[in-house]
Amino acid sequence: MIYLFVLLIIGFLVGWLLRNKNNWIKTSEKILLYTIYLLLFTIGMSVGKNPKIIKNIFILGIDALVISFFCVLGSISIAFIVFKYILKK
Amino acid sequence: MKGTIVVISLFLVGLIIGLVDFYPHNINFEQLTDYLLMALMFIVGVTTGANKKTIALLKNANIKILTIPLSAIFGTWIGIIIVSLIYSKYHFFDLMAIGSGFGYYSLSSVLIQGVKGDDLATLALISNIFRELLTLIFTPIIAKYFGKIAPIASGGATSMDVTLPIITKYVGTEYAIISVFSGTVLTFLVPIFVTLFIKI
Repeated sequence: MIYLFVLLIIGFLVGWLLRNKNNWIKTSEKILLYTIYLLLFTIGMSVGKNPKIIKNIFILGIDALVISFFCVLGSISIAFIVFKYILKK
Repeated sequence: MKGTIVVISLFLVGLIIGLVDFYPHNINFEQLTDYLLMALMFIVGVTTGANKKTIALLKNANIKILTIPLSAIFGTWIGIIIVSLIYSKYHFFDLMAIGSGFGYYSLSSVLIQGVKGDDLATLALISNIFRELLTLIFTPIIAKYFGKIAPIASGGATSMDVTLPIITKYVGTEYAIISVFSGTVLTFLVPIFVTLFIKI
């Protein structure tokens, strides 16, 4: 997976060099959006042909709700403490 | 919101096509996903590096403003620790990767799928969409009881775009820049943290 990091950093440097070319940036943002859309579509397909996941989709939904609930609860609790004891002073 | 609907629809259309077995069997989708993933990481890098606003925001960062994305990061991870105590069926670092999507469901689920497969990717997709939805729905309550920066922390990476209007409505427009800053920092960190945790 290290090559993903390397690609990220090379991309960052390329983007930084091209930062003054506005149409390049717009294009790359569009490509990013469509790449993500395409990937989500192919993920949907491989999920669809996987009977194990389809059978468990309800349980996955419940688990997802539990995960997101605690991520939000943790975040707002720390934010509450930071706001009250660090930022307000 | 429009983006969310597009994403869910595309995922569902793909899911139905897979379900009814209506797709060309001679295409190797795993390999295709690998190549798309590599392209994706490169393009994420380009868009971040090319975004002058990101660089300017990061340059103006001071310790005080940094406490807000940091609250979101450590708060999320504390939440994940609690989740890992509830569920023994998921590996701790897989849950950390899912949590480190910070609401950026499209990118995080795609990154997780490349290494961890479809079930964890689906979990990452749904739970990060839920994070966005919970923030959209509960920001009025969160702002009232947890203070003005709590909705920004709750929104995670989405506080720079999707959840920004509702956040500024309930905590005031003077927090708009802070909200965008926090969302930008987290968006930047999502690919780094997610690939880090799926590697472990």
